[in-house]
This record gives sequence, C-alpha cells and structure tokens, in this order.
Amino acid sequence: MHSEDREIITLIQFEGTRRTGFERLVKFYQEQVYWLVRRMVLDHDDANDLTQETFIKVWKNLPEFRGESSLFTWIYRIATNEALVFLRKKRIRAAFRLGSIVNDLSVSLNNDAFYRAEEAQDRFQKALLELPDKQRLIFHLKYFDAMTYEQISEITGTSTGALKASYHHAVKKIQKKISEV
Amino acid sequence: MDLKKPYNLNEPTSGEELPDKYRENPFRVPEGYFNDLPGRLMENEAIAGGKRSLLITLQGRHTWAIAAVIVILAGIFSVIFYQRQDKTETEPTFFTISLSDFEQAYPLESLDEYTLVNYFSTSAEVPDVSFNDVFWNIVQEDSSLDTSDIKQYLLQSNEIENLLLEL
Repeated sequence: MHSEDREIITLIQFEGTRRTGFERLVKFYQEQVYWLVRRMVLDHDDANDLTQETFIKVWKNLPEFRGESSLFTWIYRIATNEALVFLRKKRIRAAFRLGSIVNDLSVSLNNDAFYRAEEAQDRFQKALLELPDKQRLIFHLKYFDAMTYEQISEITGTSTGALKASYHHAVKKIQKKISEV
Repeated sequence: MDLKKPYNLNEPTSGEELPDKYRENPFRVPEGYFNDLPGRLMENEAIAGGKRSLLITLQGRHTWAIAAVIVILAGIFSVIFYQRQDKTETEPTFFTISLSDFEQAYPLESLDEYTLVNYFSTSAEVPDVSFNDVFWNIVQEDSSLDTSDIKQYLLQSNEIENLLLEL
C-alpha cells in the first residue's frame, strides 16, 4: 500500500481527523479521478460534476471503508460507476431524440474549448468513441493509466481473461478505424 | 486486419500496438482548476454539512446526557416561570388592596355612612374620579342606603371592578 494511502486511511478512521484525511485524499486523487472521468465523458463541465459526485460519494462512505480493497481501487470503482451511469443516461436521452451518443460525444468534442488535438490525435479520439462504454473504459485504464489486468479486474469486477480479450478487440477496432480515414 | 481472428491470450496486449503519440492528452482544464477543486469540494453542502453532522453525531453519542441537561434546564425554567407567575397572581389588584386593607384597618360594620362615603370619595387609594362620581351617584340616587347596603354593594357588585378595569 502506498504510504500516502496509509496515512489517509489512518486519518479517515477517526471522526476528529476525517475531514483532514479526506482533504488529503482529494488532493492526492483528484487529477487521476478527473482525467479518468474526463476521457470517458469528454466535456469538462460534465467531468467536473462527476468528479465532485465521486468525491462526495467517497466522503459519505468513508465511515464504511474498511480497507479491504486499496483506497485507489475503491475510489476508481466509484468514479468508473459514475461515468458509466452518466453515459448510459446520455445514451438513453440520445435514443429518445433518435440520435446517437457517438454523434453527441463527437459534437461535444468539437465544441470543447478545452480540447486541442492535431488531426491524428483527433481521429484517434473519435475512434475511441465508437467503442462500447465499458470497453472504452477498459481501454482507458489499460492504455492511459497503464494498469495491470488484475487492478482493472478489481475495479470493474470483470475477469482478467475477459479484460484481455476486450482490450485486444478494442485495439483492433481503433487501429481499423484510424486506418480507414 | 481481421477482427474475426480468435483472440490469443498469449498475444501481447500492453498497448504497444498503438503508437505512444496517442497517449498525449489533448484535453485541458481551466487555469487553477485543480488548485480550487479541493476547496470547492470541502465547501460542498454534502461535505461541509459534515461539520453540522458532527454535532448530530455528538448528540447521538450523548443522547442521555443531553436529554438530562434539557430536562434539568426545563425544570429550572418552569420553577422560575411559576414563581414569577405566582408572584404576579398574588400581587393584589388596586381594588383588593384598597378594600381589604381598608376593611382590615376599619371594619366596615364599625363605620358610619359619612366616614365610608368620605373614604371612597377622598381616599388617595381610590384616586379615580369616575369611580367616585359613580359611587356618589348611587348614594345620592338612593338616600335610604345605609352602611350595610353600601358594604354589600361594594363587596358583591361587579360594577366597581368593571369600572376600575375601564380606568
């Protein structure tokens, strides 16, 4: 366990130091959580909302955190759930409008003032949008966060075998999509 | 590229198949975003409310002690309140003082009509003019009234109390 995690866990176990511990936890994990969520939902405002929601859920559940999983895994699990639920709702809303979430996300990317990508990078980002949400999540955790399959398995609750297959197919789909243009 | 090709678990899957340039982050955040986020979060009602919930938690832990303190304070308050109320209630009214004091000092039976009428018409303890006027009217209207009649009137009639209240 990371020494920072150990100190945070010690602080959050006691009511008197819980807020201090939580503040340290936010400072330590905010960027990882934000970037994971941002890559999934693309829009900064949505990512900001979901990041805050993630930490609010972390805060509310701190008294129940028993350290059975690592702090990092626990927080990531909450963040990924938040992002997946958000995308599911977005997909349903898009379906009601007879639209597609891929189009919505693509438009969101084009209009995002905080997104700057040269052509190849833009193609890559738009190719990622073609992946199903959970496969995209697995791809992000593996490719960008360089996590092991065991860590991803803990976060997503999917077997490592299924994760390897999912990642392999994600890479192939992306390569195909990029090469099409 | 054949997507139908069966997946081989021994095949490398660490992401080397994709160039590193894609790892570059094309997203940006507003300036100072990560500096402000912890502060904003700690001010969030759900989290800042934790300060208030600390009191609630404290209450939960010491419910009996807090309940006992509340009961004791309520007791002290009620004792003070009733003492003050008793004091107010037993405080004699203007009419009671004048009549009972008068009766104690001068039993009405022992007084003649002149003294009695003189008392009520001139006593500083019954200073209201209208009361005196009314009293005189009664006496003048019925010259047959004797001391006991006047005494009876004074003790039974609500008129006097009503008149005093009107003042």
